[in-house]
Amino acid sequence: MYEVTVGNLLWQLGLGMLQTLKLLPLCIGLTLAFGVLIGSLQTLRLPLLNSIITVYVFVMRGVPPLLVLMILFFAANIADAFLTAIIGLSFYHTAYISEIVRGGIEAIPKGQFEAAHCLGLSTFQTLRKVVLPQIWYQTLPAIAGQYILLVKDTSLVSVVGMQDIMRIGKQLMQVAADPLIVYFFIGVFYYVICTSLQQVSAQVERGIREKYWGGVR
Amino acid sequence: MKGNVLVEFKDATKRFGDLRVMDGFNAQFFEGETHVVCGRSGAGKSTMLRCINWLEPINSGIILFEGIPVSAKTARQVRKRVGMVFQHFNLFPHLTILRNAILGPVQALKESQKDVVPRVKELFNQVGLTDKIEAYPAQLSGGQKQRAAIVRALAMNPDLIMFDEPTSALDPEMIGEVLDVMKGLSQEGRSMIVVSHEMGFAKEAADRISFMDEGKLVETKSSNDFFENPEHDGTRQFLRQILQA
Repeated sequence: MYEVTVGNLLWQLGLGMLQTLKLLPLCIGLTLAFGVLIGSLQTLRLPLLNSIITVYVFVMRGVPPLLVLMILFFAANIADAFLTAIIGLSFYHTAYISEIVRGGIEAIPKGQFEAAHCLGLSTFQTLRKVVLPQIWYQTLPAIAGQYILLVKDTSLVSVVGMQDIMRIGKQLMQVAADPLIVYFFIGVFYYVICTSLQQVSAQVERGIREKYWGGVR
Repeated sequence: MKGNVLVEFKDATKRFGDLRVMDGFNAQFFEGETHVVCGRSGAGKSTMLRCINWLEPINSGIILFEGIPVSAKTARQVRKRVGMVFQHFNLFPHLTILRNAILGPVQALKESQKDVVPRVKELFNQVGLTDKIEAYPAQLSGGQKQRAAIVRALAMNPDLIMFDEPTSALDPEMIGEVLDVMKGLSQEGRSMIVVSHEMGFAKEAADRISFMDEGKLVETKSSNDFFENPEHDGTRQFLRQILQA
């Protein structure tokens, strides 16, 4: 039995983490774009669309993300693991982000909508120029929290065959590495990423406060 | 010196559930006039204003603005021509007051920023806020906020400006600066409908004053007549109470 050095272990796990990290920007971009779109649409209360969105949100909130990935990969036969991971995680987390966005919009005082309408702004302009810029400050902690959960959910993608950190860890254990050490370092990797996300979130929050409220809020 | 009819209510009714806020409401507001509407709280004054630009849809009857029936379809068209100043300012907190004021002209009227900015700066100068244009609403006093909100309404070059209790949320020492701006606008011959309890302002600046009670305009008179010869009992009682205070 050959020994895996710590350096080699970290290197291998790092490569796996890189796979996970490749998922993140795409997932964040997609969930944010669709989350804002769907959350905004919800506030317009369009009869049929609202029911569809409500069902979607209910279903996504009611099932585990692992199931979504499994269905896409094994039942919908998306052969590509990376693609499955992107679609599955984005589809799942968009439901949550859209609810955060909807809540953010509905927390904006009615007077803001009225003032915008009184200036002749369309519904779309009102959302884009007046309402949405105001929701970030309030919703950012919730959104950051959701993305931290997204990072953690990426640990599920190994089941559809992605060569992510979890899968590589398992392989390393099979060749010789001590499971405790492998899991410890996997934990360290996740911890660093999640903590960095929190730092970024705090930074963005400060930025918003300065840019949008002249630092007075 | 009446101009053309700018806003006309014909038998307009507005209900909130069982409550009839406006009931067979008839009124005319004229171009170039400062028309103050007073009355007890709950008389329907604010609702009446908000119906003109379809912030509140009426249940029956008709409201004409510049001859156009106000409806869901024409609402945006009307709103581009009607400025509104709110009791609670409703400035956009994420924008400087300069950005607040140019948003409407640029977005809704499709004017170029180059044309709007100088015009808006001149308006800020008129209301004495030149040194504050880069401030955010949260950095201003109540009186400054309301003056900025007036500029935001004026920036649209509206045919009519509506004031919904513009001084009711202000500390007493700031009421004067806002009323002064409004008096200036009145002297310029702007068309204004002002819902307010400021009888001093009404006396000085209004061309006509109406008393609203239980969803109807019960009395409309020229400014002098209103104070000297109020006919309706409700008006008399209201004036007695408010002038005593």
